[in-house]
Amino acid sequence: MPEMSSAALISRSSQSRVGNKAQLEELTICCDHITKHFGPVIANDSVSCTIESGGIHAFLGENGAGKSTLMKILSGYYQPDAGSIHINGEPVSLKSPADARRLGIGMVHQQFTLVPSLTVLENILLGQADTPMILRPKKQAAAIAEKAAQYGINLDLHAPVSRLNMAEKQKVEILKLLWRNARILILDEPTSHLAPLESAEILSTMARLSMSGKIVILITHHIEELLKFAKMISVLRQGKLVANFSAESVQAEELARLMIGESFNAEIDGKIYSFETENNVANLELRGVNVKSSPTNKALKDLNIEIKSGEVHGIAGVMGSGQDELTAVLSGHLLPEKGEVFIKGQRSAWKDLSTPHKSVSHIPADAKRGSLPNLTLLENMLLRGIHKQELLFGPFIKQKEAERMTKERIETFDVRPKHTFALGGSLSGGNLQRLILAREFAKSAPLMVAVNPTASLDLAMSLRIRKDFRKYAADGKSVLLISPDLDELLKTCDRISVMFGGRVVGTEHVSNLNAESLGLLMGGNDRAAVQS
Amino acid sequence: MLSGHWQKLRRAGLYALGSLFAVILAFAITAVFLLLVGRDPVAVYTGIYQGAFGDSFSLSETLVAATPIMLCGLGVAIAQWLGMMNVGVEGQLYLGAIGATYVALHCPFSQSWQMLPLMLVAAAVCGAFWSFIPGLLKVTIGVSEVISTLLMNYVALLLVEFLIHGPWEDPNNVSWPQTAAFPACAELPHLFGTRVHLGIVFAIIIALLFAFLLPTTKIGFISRVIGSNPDAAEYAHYKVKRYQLWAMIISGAVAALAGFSQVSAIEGRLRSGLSPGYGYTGFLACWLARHNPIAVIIVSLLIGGLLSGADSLQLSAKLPFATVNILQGMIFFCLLASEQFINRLANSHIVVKDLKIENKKDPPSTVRGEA
Repeated sequence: MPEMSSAALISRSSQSRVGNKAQLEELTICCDHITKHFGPVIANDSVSCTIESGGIHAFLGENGAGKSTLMKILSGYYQPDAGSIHINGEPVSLKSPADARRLGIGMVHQQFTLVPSLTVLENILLGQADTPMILRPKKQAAAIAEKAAQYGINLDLHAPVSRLNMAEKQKVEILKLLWRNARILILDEPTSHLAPLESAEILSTMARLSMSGKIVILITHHIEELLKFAKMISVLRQGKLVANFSAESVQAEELARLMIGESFNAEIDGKIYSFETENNVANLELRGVNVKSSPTNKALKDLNIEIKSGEVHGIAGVMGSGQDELTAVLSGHLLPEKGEVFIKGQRSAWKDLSTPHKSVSHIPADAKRGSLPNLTLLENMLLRGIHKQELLFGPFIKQKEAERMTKERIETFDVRPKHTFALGGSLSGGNLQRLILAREFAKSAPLMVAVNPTASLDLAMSLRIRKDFRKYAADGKSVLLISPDLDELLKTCDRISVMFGGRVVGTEHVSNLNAESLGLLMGGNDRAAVQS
Repeated sequence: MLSGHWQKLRRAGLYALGSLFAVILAFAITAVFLLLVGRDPVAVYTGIYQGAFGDSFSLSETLVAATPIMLCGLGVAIAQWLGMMNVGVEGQLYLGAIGATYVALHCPFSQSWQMLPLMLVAAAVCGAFWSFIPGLLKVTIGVSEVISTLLMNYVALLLVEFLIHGPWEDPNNVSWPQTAAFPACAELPHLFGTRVHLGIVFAIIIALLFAFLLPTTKIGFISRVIGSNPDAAEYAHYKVKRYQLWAMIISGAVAALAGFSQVSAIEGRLRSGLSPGYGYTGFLACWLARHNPIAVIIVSLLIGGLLSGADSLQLSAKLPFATVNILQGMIFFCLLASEQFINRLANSHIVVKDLKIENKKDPPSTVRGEA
């Protein structure tokens, strides 16, 4: 993937030049013994660290390690129970996000705070304290464009945000902070929903920013990424700062070990299976599937795909290459315009949507779509199983049976809180995802379609889920894993199909693939060029 | 750690307390208003209480006033369970009255057991038709049901005007805009020798039925899923639109029973002032009750008391009827304000406990608003 490596080169080489940039104001923010409790839980346990400009400073840690809490303290959302914060040696008091903003601290949250129907320009002007009553868009636009150019951010200011891709939206968020003259930028998992090329672009932009005298703090649990782009890495585990070192001096394995602690095992790097599916029959095959175009979505064009029994089949591709449509077709939410489906070699009548959905479990990309925040965990479990005869007595639901089933499933997948009457909305992202996984695994359908299933999970849980996918497939069922995380695909799948522009441009056994060749295929290069 | 059942109970308790607090706050704010216009709030409130629950006559008047509110409130609730906001119960009430009136005036029955069931069915069908139209517009082409149901109220009212000034005008009394009186067999039976009628029994049966079926049946479950997260319902392949359309139909039919029982038991004929806004009051009752069918009954009783209390207030304290409207509006306002507050409280201890596992909570909404 040439773009990615060159971007990495830029960041590395500019890091080495930092000494020459003496004219730039040095900026440091220092956390001194920050402690924060939530009830009996210690989210931050006497965390002390110094963060400097001149290179990305990454905070690595599992979900719940205390990264987000620390960042929210830095950006004024929470107040620490003990400890203090200094900027350039001066103690500062961050009583509210407004205080933080005044001091030039800005945070980009994982969930974007953009208004889709407004343009980039309008979004940037929105909610600024100094935006005048009467907007003078041309004048403002010129100033913002200048700012963007200064930091090498390439954006069409007049495009509506709804038309932007994830990476561009991320850039709008960053530009919003820059326009407010933020000098300390905090990004919470900025790349969790981006394809590798997009991530590289965002991260190299961030690296450039940090070179120009800003502090850039990155929260992530993506190790590869930060080894490439970060200068300093701090690792948090269970609220404590366990390590703090320069990115050049550390290996991925060591980081993973520090991050997970005791439970670390050797599976992290190796493939977690050895399973041969070459000669298996196809559980499901799509031939010549077409999906009508809509203004915002690219359609599927003569898509062919074959998913064998016992196989975990990966789908790689830049976002918007047709993955959403493929998922919708397979999960029975979209009827293709034309095309054939073969289930176990039998051609299936595809007149309505009921055919696919009975034989497919589906883990949606957005956990909100797969769960019920206002209803209980028990009801969340029933969401996909309500038609099952063993749960029904005439028109009535067997409450005891449903409760027993729910208890069993939340126990297996370690969903917390453990009681069946807790509301879905009270669960954190990771727990919610585990709840959905528990339910979909239990459906035990011949095909499981999982879209980005580990995005909100920590490393240990992700590894477990990947293993569970393997186990699921080993029963003669199949898993279709759609993920922007190439590493995950390469470590979990038997074969990977790459989608580009609404079709599958190549399907390869993982042994013939690596991140680089996958990246080329995803960019639309054909197979011959990749193999040569 | 609270066990599951306790937690459920705690949540229900919080909501009940929250509603109670909102009502008390509303009374307090209205008291300030009363003081400003130089009335003694204590005396006014005692007056309302006396007029509502003071003696057996006031009590029966309260029940009479509460009956159409209950039926309308239940109508609103049924649609709301599936995420459809039916603001058109007032119109559906009138359509129910029209349907019942047609049967009463045109069917040559002389027995109540023939007449009344037919009136009931006709009323339900007409009301259901009136809510079916906005329901259909919503699920097919996405017309907001809030607007269309609301607008159809005016159409319903004009339809009644047309009928009582035109084809159904009372031939014996042309000066009054109303139909001829119904035959005796078209009168819904009254209870205990008072004006209280069978309508209240309908309301209570419907409420109990839904209170039982909603949490225990598959259809009830699917309805709740659709109401709580239509995206997830779509994801689970529920027939969201079909369910929502049926909810609207049933909602309209239940609201129409209010119209039926009003013309049949109270008025004995169709006239334009049939409902002093029972539909809208029912809407209020439903939201006060947070769409819980049993709570709708209780809240309707209280509002019914407020209305009949206001009647006597008008006579005794010489305060305009609008005083009670102010109080009602205040209650609704306080209730909406309390909603967010209670939601936060209800989930607070879980959120805190949960932080040890994850801390990817969104920042508080007040903060997000600034971004």
